[in-house]
Amino acid sequence: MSGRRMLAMARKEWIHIKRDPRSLAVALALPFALLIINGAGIDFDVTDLPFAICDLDGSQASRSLREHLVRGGLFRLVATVPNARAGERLMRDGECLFVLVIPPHMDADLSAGKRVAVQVLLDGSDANTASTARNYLTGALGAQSAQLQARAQGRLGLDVRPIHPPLTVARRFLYNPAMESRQFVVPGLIVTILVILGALLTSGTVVRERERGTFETLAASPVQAAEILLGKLVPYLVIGLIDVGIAICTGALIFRVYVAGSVELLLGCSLVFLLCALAFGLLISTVAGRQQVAMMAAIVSTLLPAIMLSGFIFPIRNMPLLLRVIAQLIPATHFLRITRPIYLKGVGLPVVWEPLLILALMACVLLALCVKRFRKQL
Amino acid sequence: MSEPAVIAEGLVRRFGAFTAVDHLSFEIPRGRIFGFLGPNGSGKSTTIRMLCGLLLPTEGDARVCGASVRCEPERVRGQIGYMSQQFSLYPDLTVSENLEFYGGVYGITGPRLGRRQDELLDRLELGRERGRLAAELSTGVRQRLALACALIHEPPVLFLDEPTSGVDPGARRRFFELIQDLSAQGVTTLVTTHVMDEAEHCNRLLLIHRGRRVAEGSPAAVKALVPGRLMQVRAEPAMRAADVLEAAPEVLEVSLFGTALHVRLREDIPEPDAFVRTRLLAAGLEVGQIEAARPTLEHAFLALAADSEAEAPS
Ligand SMILES: Nc1ncnc2c1ncn2[C@@H]1O[C@H](COP(=O)(O)OP(=O)(O)OP(=O)(O)O)[C@@H](O)[C@H]1O
Ligand SMILES: [Mg+2]
Repeated sequence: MSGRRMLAMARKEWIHIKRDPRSLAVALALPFALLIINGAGIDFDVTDLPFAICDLDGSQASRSLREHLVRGGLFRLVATVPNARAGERLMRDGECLFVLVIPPHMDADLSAGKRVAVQVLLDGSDANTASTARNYLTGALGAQSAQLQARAQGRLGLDVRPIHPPLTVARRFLYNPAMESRQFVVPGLIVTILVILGALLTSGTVVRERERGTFETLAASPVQAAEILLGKLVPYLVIGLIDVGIAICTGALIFRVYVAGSVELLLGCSLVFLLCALAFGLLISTVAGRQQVAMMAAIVSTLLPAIMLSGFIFPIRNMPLLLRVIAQLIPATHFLRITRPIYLKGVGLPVVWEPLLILALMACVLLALCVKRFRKQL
Repeated sequence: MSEPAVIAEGLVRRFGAFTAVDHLSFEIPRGRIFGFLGPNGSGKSTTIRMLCGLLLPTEGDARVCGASVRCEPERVRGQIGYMSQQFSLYPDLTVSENLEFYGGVYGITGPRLGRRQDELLDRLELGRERGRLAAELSTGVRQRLALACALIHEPPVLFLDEPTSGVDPGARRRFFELIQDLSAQGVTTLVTTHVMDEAEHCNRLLLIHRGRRVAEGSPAAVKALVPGRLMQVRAEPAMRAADVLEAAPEVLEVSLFGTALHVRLREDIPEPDAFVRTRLLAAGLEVGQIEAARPTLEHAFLALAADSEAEAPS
């Protein structure tokens, strides 16, 4: 290893970046744009959910259930329908998101100590909103069910299906008091941004050398694989860190989402994660034959898992076993376990050391793989 | 320390079942210009890549500046300058940035790099271009820059793979003058080319075909290897004359040379002028001057490659 040769490599790579202002502009505007689009566009919080009710019971209990739902502000009653079919029609026209069907004799059955199933018809075409609505509704019905039970002197129960009051509600309530999703989204987006950058920035660099024929000349020089790779990494690490800074500032200034913990720690952890992301990009570029191929492969193999499997949008614990295992192999998963707690709970190193260690190990493995693949080609 | 700068001993390189380089052995003494000739696909680049330590020989070995390309390619790499057949500059870097980068890659920095850079820019007449992007340069200037990059670390051995392809004759001549200057300073050069004029400038030539040695020696010695006798013939119409002569079994080869024909005859024809004249007149053609000609390297190249082709079992 020679520092001089590595430095020569890094300086050259930096000139490439400088001479390609469009890519540089994209790299710097990316965090800003992504935050604006995602933070403002997708609002995971749902309130004022329109619903219709079909009350086949018309009793004291059914009226109290309806009032309970409307009072909370989460649901808005748009229509009372005579039967489920009429409710479905409303739902198809987009008038309401779900129809609550209260079966006949609910009150009587409850009093008789029988279990009663309340039917909820949900519009699944907007799966995200629907599942949020279901969660809210399950919570609301659960609470009401307890009251009704109490009213039936402990002998009576209301069976609502599906009933598993989501733990996430309790969590969000704890660390995101306003239950605002942007609080949750900003740290997740930092992860996404770094993943995209890592893939985009580095995936082409080795392939480009090979396409230009400069690779052969490098190979005939005394420069070593590790020097080439590290030299290529350094400038992109700097850009990546600047991007994290931009993301943190954008989050604070525009969305009023502040880092509760230490910014330095967040940056330090970002550096380790960036190493993973960039090394992965490089690895792809040592395998891919052409620049465009490398770019596509990098995006598909990093971005999709980072968004879908890291726990950013879909909670990992609800995934099937295979996906849970895969999720553990994705660096983004572990980085998310760092950014969210630092951002929202303000925790320090004593809490995040474990995912950080995993990330560091992953970075080492990826870099070692890179060097190994690369040495073979030199 | 008068060991030759490059010694190849039975170099073989196979790609699967295909043998690109087939038992090549040669030596290049220090400070000499060694010309490496052969048709497309004959294995020149493959040989050079083995000599640079870029490609492992399937069999055999070579020593470059005393280092084995098989066992210690890293030691070889510091000692050689390599201009690959492909364009190998960074188009988005300027002339001096390209030079500085290659300098850095060879561990040359600071004042030494500055001095070396000025020297090369001056010597290769690149001074006025130093701030221009490599992408904007003309082919001739680019070629000189590539040479400058290969020379930045003052290597004792140079491998130049078709350095002058696409370069105009004037620039080509100056390029070879540079190589001769370097040779005078003790730099050993192995150069491949398809231009026979350039081959004339080499101290020694190696002609290969299908990875095998066909001929080796000084340009004069290689020319002397051309079998038969060469005649320059003027006849009208020339194309008809060529057809007539080619049909004769005594004629080894006919090629167009300007407006005249070059005819290579078997050695054992007693009066070649009379033989040619009789043949052409019998076919009713107008015959002009007929005289003996000296074979050029071009003849040697074509004749030797053709002979080798005929021998090859294929
Ligand atoms: N990596 C490789 N894999 C398979 N075949 C190869 C490889 N490299 C070269 N060859 C084959 O080996 C033969 C010799 O190639 P080489 O490039 O050495 O020829 P050359 O003499 O340099 O020709 P040119 O004058 O066109 O540059 C060619 O037929 C080529 O197709
Ligand atoms: Mg070649």
